[in-house]
Amino acid sequence: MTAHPTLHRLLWGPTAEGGLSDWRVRPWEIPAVGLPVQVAAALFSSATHHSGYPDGWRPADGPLTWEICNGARHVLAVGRQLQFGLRESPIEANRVNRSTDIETVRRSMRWEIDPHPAYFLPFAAARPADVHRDSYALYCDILLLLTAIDGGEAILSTLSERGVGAVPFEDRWSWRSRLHLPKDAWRQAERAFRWTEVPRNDMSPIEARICAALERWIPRGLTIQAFTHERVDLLLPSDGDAEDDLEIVRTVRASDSGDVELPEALLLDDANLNAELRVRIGQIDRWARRDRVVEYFPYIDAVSTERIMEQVAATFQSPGYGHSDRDPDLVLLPEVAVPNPEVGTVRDLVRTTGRASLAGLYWRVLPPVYGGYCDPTSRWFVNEAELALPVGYRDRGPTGIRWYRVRKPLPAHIEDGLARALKERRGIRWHILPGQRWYRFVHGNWGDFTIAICSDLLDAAPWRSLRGELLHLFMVAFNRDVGFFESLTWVRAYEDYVNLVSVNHGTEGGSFVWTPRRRHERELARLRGRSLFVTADVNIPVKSMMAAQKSGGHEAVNRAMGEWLNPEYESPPTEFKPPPPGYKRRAARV
Amino acid sequence: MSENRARSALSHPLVLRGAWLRIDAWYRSADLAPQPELAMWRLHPEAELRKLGADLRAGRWRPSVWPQLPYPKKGARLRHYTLPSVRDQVAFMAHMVLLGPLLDSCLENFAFGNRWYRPLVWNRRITPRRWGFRPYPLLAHQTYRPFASSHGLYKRVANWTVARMTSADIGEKDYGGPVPHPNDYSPTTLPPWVRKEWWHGAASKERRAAWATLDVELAYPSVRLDRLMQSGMAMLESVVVPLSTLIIGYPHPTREFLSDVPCRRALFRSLVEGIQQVEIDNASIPRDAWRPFHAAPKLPPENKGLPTGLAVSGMLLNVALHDTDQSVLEYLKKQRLEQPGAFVRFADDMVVLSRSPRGLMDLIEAVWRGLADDADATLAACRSESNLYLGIGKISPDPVRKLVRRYLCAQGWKRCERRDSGCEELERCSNLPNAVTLGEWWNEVVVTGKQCNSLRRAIDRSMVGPEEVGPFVTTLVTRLSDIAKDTLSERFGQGARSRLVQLHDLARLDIDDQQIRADTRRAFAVNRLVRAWLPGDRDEVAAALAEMRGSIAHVLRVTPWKYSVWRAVVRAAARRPPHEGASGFGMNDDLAAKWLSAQLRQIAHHTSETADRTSWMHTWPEGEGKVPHERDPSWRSLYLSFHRTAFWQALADVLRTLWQHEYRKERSRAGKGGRPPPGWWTVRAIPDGDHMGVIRFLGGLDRWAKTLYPGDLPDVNRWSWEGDQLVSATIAACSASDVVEAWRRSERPNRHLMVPKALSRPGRERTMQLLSDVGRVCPTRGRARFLNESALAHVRLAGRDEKLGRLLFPRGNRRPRILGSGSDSTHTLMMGVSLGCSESVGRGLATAVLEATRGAREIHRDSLALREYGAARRILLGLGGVP
Repeated sequence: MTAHPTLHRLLWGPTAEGGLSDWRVRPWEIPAVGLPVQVAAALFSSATHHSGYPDGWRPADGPLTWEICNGARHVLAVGRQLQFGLRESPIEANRVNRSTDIETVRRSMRWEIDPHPAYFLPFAAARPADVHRDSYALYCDILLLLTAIDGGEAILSTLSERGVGAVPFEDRWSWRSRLHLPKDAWRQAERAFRWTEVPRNDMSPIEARICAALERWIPRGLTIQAFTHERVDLLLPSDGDAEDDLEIVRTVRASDSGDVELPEALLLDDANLNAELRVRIGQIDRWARRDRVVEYFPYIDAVSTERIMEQVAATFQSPGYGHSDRDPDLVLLPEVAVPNPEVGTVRDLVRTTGRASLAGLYWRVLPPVYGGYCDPTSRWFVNEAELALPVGYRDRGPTGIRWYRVRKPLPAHIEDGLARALKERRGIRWHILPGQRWYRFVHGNWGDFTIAICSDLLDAAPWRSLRGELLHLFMVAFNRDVGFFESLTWVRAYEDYVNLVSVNHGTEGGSFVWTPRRRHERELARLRGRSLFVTADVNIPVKSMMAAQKSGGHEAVNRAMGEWLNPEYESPPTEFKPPPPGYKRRAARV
Repeated sequence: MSENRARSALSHPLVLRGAWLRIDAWYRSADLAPQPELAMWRLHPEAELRKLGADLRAGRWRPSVWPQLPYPKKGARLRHYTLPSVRDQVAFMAHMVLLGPLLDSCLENFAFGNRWYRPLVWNRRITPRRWGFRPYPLLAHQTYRPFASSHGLYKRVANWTVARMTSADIGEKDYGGPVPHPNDYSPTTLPPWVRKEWWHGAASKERRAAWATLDVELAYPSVRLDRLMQSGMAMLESVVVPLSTLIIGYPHPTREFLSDVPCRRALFRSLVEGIQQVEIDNASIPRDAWRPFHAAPKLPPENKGLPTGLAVSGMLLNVALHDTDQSVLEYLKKQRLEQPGAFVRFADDMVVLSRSPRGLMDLIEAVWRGLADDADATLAACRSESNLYLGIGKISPDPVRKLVRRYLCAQGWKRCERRDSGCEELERCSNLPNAVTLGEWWNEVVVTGKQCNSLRRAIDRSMVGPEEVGPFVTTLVTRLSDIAKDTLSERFGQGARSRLVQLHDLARLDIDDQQIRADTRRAFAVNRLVRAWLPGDRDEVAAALAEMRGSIAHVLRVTPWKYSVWRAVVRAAARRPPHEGASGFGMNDDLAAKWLSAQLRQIAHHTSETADRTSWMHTWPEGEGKVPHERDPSWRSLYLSFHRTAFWQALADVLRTLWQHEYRKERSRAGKGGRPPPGWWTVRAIPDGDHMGVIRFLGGLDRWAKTLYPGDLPDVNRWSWEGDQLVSATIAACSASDVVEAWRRSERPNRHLMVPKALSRPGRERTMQLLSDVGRVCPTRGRARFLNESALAHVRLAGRDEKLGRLLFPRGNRRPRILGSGSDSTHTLMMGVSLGCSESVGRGLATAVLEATRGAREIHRDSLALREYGAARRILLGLGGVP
């Protein structure tokens, strides 16, 4: 261990105790959990803007790494501990390093581990004279950026095994669905990697463009909140014109602070919205045998898997098979429902039926960055839901697929209990890794929506921060206290003034669909009953909901004014309740 | 100078790696591979590439002697097929990695088969969206574009061409949604005859099309290498697309090399000269077992030809036929207004279309002129400068073939003297100075002279029109494509049942469809059937399993040349219905054994006297008929030998997959990886927990050996292909750790596949005796400590198990039991990695390798070391080897 911690120690060293200087690099134990994009971008920016080169360095001396500067060590270490759920309170370091000019990392030749072979690729492909200092330094920086946001070196391994390949980076959705970088940053990264094919002396335009693309995402200072509350706004593909994509990453902000202007593409356009969105609730009731969960963890026995998948198949099937107007747009499956080896099967169903799916996935154990060769002393598992969308189903060509994983930020007691039970049974420490990223998906026809997994809903703050930017909140759940969640979901639906679809697991029953309409019309669907496999198609309002969000508040005030001025004034009946007080504005295209 | 640069480019590590990736993938789908050579390459490819690179750089590389194989063919014949060494495959592929993109870019857009791989993508970023090609990549696993998509496009282009000719609509949608349309492709991707403009302004307003399919007789062995050289050289000079948009991932020095025409020519010369140096060992296979009696072209050994079995031969055939393509294109352009026609080609299969029978006759003649490379040639004057000939007997439809035969007879060709014995062929006559062309003859004799009226009417009837597209429908293609989608909907209940019914139909029924050959359809169906989900309870599954075995047996019988069906046979024998408790297992074994033995009896090794009625030695399934020409009687034994080879190979593959399944399951229990995914055949076919039972069942080799070799033993040493696969199956029936232990106590194997005597177990005695009789068993010799490369290659062919790592890399300070003292640590480590023993390799070895390969300077000197460095680093990090 050197006295100069590098990026790799930050990524692969977190423990509950001590700071960065006390950690050791443990890739055989730590799973690949990337730094928040904003943080990684800030490190990249610092390395390229501030750092220059180590004295006398030439490419032939070997690749460069990022050494963490003194001033940033504390905030980065605390942030990492919070990411891994190793520290409870974020308060102590919440306002550290508020300046963008601070040097967080510097380029260095002092590697704590041997560099990945991808760093040497230029030497395999180009003549020594063609490996220029600037080009190579930028090449190293980009590899480090990718390592930082991925948390591991999977992309580097792909590059060193198969080269840069023929598929443009901007079209590699298996990367882009989890690593959120601006499209132009991907393009420029690819140009930088291809320099061994067409030697280029001056890399400064590429560097400038990457920095420019990232600049809007880089926070004004490194804060702990950037680690714990990452927010991604994503434009989803919808049928229509040539495909474009856009995403921005920022920190979940305080409620209604309005500190970020969303690009127009990420705002809804009323004209394109459908009148309704048809969702199918698939309240499947088959699950792993409870008495074998710990024994088989994280797998489900073959017989149970078949029974679960039979219900998943039944949920997707209906007459018309994807071509009828009455087909659902989105199929929802409950929390921890789909066994992980069957995720590909569900994606295939999405591709062939043209229906999007939001499926709760059974717990997954995260493999260590370099695992499988020795027995780790700690293991992490996650609770995730996957949104899978068909791309171009009504198009003439083959149907593509895009998927995004949402990780549960607030694990339930029962999951913490599972971790302890695993420790009892298997003798090593188990942790459930919380998610720290909230998505806002923008779909041109369905509107904008986000995803919650069960107990996430208990913490009001993140959802409140999305108020005014959402039409729908989809929740996959495995609740036992159905009555409590019936009340809670309605409260959240009204508080955030959204349509809320909650799909509970059929072993307990109790799925609900709320919309903030008046009286009993607020309840669009209610499925109760334990051990019941039920599917139900529900139409949820889109266009009218958008109108209510935009003008409901003003109309309510006007009505109230009319009533105050004229006690006999009878306001015309409205479909929706007015938005709650404090609901200030609906973000939409002008 | 150019030669030196060519050698240098060929030996560039990235080029060699690109070549190896392709060859490695090639063997994964190939029929047979040279073992243990391939296993040795897979143990440490970098070491082999280094040796090959050094030979290429020094100009020392020469192809080795390749054995010929008795590769079955329809019509109770054999194909001329060779088994090149892996080293030669990689060397030839390295040439083509550099030249393939350039050559492919010159090919015409109506040639579809064996096109050099480049990704085809549906571009969603443009409006309207359409298919487009990406540049040719350096590092790719694919050699050619996927067969399914390129053959599908070939069929569709023929279909669209007919639609344009007959002014029929080309639908953009059908009941199932959008269907492919020519507008989905950029104009340069498809030939001009799929566009309306090609047919505008033509004199003929006929809305029907006369058509014929042609093929080149024994195309690969007929190619003249000197003409191939000329053709390739000309193509390499005519590349017009700039390299910057043509290729991707090629390092800068290689790009510089490829932009220099003399260098390209030098490289192509090196490639063709390499083929010229190839020698074939054909001692075991009599020439008339594969050479048709009436074959026109000069064939090996008189003419070297392109060796079948060589991965790059498909591309080279395209080069050889490029002049033909250009000649036909020129003809079609010239005749566009007078007699508009069209031409599409898939490897050596061609479709010609014209609006009139006369136009068709002229077009056939034009194809012949192009093929023979003689502007004045007539079909009757059977002389070909290029040594390529049209297969007259394979022309379809029947009326066109009969008419061509009538024409040839009229010009002086003779019917075979043995026609009373069933020979349909004509005796070719090459000296016909006054022969007229087929078109002229048609005009004079058929049209003006009013002869052959019935044939004329038959040709008229065979023409296709807007309502009747005859063989150019794509319905079955679409149906097969649909059924190939094996989604969750087809896993349970009615969806699964309905898919099974469809697959049984495709396997058993005689469907009259000229778009997909019946044998291809049947083989497709049984290979899907055997991995299909079977719905229902235990009894329903058991009944479905019996049905499945029935269909597979039927397909085996009606397509005896499709030896690939043996994979389905073995898998069907391995399938088990769900059962409760152990009671059902033995019964299922008995049923499966009875069924499999019945299939094996058909191909058992007999003399014709000892064969029983079910044996193909006695009754050939394609029907005996009359034997028109005497031929060496050993063809039938050879044919059956190849079937037994295919069976042993399929058995070995299935056993290895089952071992792999068990291994993964064990690892997942220990938290070291995922379980076998549901896409694996073993998950669908065998109930959880029964896999070891099935391994024991299939691995009881004596039961199969007794059925296959009931009497005298064949000389499997002379028929080395059969001996190799029998050894391979014997090894696959054992766990890798058993094989290691056995080798440690045996004499070390040489470069042939051998079995250590210590592997003898109850249930394998007869098999071992059989192998011992032909010298394929290594005797036990005390206790040896180390395994050499060849022994390790054998271990790679065995069933994967958990104990292997500890056995090869014992804990503590003990030396690895690999290679012996003085061995290179990198070599040892890479072999361990390749055998799946990374976690046992140990920090010391990994550190030593890392030290040896660390740093940019070393990587620059030998960039193949990059992968070795990566492997050592991964092991070290995984084992906690960090300061």
